[in-house]
Order: sequence, then C-alpha cells, then structure tokens
Amino acid sequence: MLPTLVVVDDQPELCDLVLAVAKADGYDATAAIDPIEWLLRTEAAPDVIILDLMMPGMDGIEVLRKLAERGQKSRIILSSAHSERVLDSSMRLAKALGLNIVGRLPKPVKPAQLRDLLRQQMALARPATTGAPQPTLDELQEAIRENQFVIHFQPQVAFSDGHFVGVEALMRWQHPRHGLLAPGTFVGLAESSGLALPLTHCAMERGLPDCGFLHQHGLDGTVSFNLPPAALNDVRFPEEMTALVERYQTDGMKILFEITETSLASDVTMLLDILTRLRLKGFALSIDDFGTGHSSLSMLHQMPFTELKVDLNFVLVAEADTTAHVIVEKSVALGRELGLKVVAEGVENQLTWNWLKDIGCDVAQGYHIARPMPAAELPAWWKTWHTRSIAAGFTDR
Amino acid sequence: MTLTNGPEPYVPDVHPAIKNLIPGYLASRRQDLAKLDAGMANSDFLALRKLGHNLKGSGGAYGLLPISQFGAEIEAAALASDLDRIRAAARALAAFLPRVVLPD
Repeated sequence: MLPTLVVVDDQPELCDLVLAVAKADGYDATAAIDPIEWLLRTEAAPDVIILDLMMPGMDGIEVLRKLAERGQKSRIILSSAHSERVLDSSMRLAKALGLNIVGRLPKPVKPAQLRDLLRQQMALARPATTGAPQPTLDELQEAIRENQFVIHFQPQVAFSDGHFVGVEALMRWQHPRHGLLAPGTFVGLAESSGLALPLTHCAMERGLPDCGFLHQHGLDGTVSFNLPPAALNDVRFPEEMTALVERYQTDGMKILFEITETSLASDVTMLLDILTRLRLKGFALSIDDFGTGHSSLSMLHQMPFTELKVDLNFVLVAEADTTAHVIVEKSVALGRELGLKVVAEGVENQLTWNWLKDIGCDVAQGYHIARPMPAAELPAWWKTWHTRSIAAGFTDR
Repeated sequence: MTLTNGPEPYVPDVHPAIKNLIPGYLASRRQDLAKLDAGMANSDFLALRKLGHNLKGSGGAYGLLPISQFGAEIEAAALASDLDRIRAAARALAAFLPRVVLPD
C-alpha cells in the first residue's frame, strides 16, 4: 500500500507540481483546491498533508484549527509565499494545537526541496501504513512491572578539546512483539495514564548499573536522565532518587536530571522545594529544550540549574534560519553569563560544530559525535572518537 | 519569431518529473496577462494582488524564477495601489513568456 499524500492549495499549478513530484516518489497523491470541500468530504487521514497558508475562503490557519479539532495525526508540511517569519509562527501555532508539523516549504517551491521532504516522510510513512506499533495501556503496565526497558546512551563531548563529558540516558522499550520501540511510542501514553514516574524509576534502574561499567572504562562524567512533569509534583521524589542511586555503584559518575521548560509550568513553591533538595542531595539539574517554553528567564532566575541545554530544533535549523541562529547565539551567551554549562543538542555536522565552538558553547551532543548506543558500545566509540579527534584535528581546528 | 534576432531564450532548469507540466503552466500565465489587464482596467487591486501572489509562489517552482520576481513586484505594487508599477511588471511578464524554451 502506497503512503498517501494530499496537497491542499488553491493554485492548480502548485498542486500539479506537487502531485508530479510525489507520484514520481511513490506516493498515492491527490490534490484539494478547495479546503472547505476537502474537509467536508475527507474522512481517512492521509500520511502527509502539504498545506498552503493563503487560500481564499478558508486560510491555512483555519484549516489547521479544524485538523486539530479532529485530532488529525497526519504529518503536515506548511507552504507559503509569505515571509519566513509567517511560516515560522504558523508552525509554532500548529505545534501548540498538537498537530504533527514535519516541515515547511517556502514558495516558490523548489522541487528538489519538496522531493527531499517527501522522501524523509516516505521513510516515516511506511511503518504507519503497515501498522505502526501502538502499545496498549495493559502492555505498558506489564512492561513497567517487568521492566522491559533498555537504556541507550548518547555521548556528550567538550567543544574545547573533544574530551568526554558524559552521556544522556535515552529509554527504549524492548517490546515482546514489536521489538525495540522509541520513546515517542510510549512516553505520551505513560504521561496521560499516570505512569510517567514509574517509567522514570524503570529508566534509572536500567541506567544506573551501567555507571560502574563506564567508570571501569575511564568514561567518568555526567549521566543525564529526563524527568517527567509528574516528578515535579511529588515532594518525595528527591528522597526516592537518592535511595535509588545509593543502591547502585555510580562511582565517578554524576547524576543529572534534565527538566524541560514546559514541565516547569506548575507550582513555583513546589518546584523550588523539589529542585533545591535535588541539588542538596548532589544531583545536577539541566533546563532542557531551552527557548521552547514560556518561562525561561524567570525559571533560570529562580531555580538552581547547573546546565542549560539549547533546544535541538533551534540548532538543527540555525544554518538556514536567521531567527533560530540568533536564538542559539543568545541562549549560549546567556547560559555562560549565568555561569551555567551550556550544552547544544543536534550537532550533526562539522559546520555546526565549528559555529557552536566559536560562539562559546561548552558541550556537544548529536549525530556528528555519536548516535545513542548501548553502554557496551561506548568504550569502542570513545576509542574511535578520541583517535579521530587527535589525528584529524576534528575537534580542535 | 526567430531566436537569433529576438530576445535571448530562457531555458528553465526543471525537475524531470514536472517538465511535461511546463506548457500548461505557461498557457495559464498567458491567461493571467488578460486577467492583469482586466484588473488594471478596473483598479481591482485585490485581484491584482492575488494574481501577483500566485505568480510569486509558482514561477520558481517550474524553474521560471523571473515569473516569481514579476509576481512579487505585482503583489507589492498592488498593495501600494501603484498601477504604473503593476503595468511595468505585467509588460515584463508578457515579454518574458515567449522567451521560454523547453529543455530537451
């Protein structure tokens, strides 16, 4: 079965073009010139929607609102001949509405760019059409009881000389039927069903034993775990984490909790209580996805963070997006001025590495350094990275 | 028209999948010239702006970037209710269309 695509655009010429490129790339593609008529007649959600923002009758923003009301899960690419800023704000709005925005297509559309976007989505659309794994609540409860989870670690290195700084612990579910599942398939279910904290315990219980292994191989540094919002509403959390860490030999590793900005939107007194006690108990704290929430500066001012993690999505597009470029630069400068360690995620090429190093970012994480991997593979990765960084001047120009 | 004595031909650099769509696209743009004339005659700046916006958004996609540039000029001029600028851009579009030669 071919992945399905609908282009919603009042310009027939643009529809023809998208259809030609999409069909050439193996999509079952159709066009909708009239968004109102399309919304009325369409029932099944296509895998991909390319939506023009400026249309007579009903503009693209109104269409997004309607799609959100339906709980539409299609991957959406926004297209417009308006300025980049209009596209950016539309994308932000769509994300705030809970829609799955996967790209943007400034007009005039570049066919090569369109093809690249469609090919990316093709790779994602295939599993969806053949039945993407959708674990049930019962399965998740059983997985937590049996701790069916494994941890993959993504290394972090210093921009200064490439030395090992630590790892971020990233959860995977070794599902008995579906195989290895990424967090995106189960974290939302856990959070909506009150299982986020038990899931965090599972992650810690799987990840902490590996600290000893890393220490034995000379990979001393920070192990970062992501905290769910639920952890910030439970005053027992710091004690529970202390007890958990004491059960394992974490040796030279320091434990850090990453807290997303969006999860900080709760009771400030409670947050201060929990975060301060976590610090007193020896944990480091990182404000994650910095720049995506609504309370960054106030939270930075009030909470005892030790690290600022610049949001991946800004870093990934900074090369082509002036606004994102400025946000990353200013975030790095802000973090440094406040005495925080500044970590950039999404370092995927040498150009990004060079730029972030030049603007004073401390720590790099991303595919340019390494993909997430089981702990057992980290010593071999380190050997290769270390050799490469010295021999090729890879890390220090 | 003889190309040797006339204006320089314009060969669009176009994605193979859409090469066959170019004649239809050009035919629609020739119809746009009449719509531009009508819009200017009626000082219908809303219609002119929309025409300009559509030209801006589509030309480059077919490897015809000058059409996007004329469209941007028409859209901006319509926003400023500037008929002279619209007329100049429409003339430039009319002069450009016959220059387009399809790639082999």
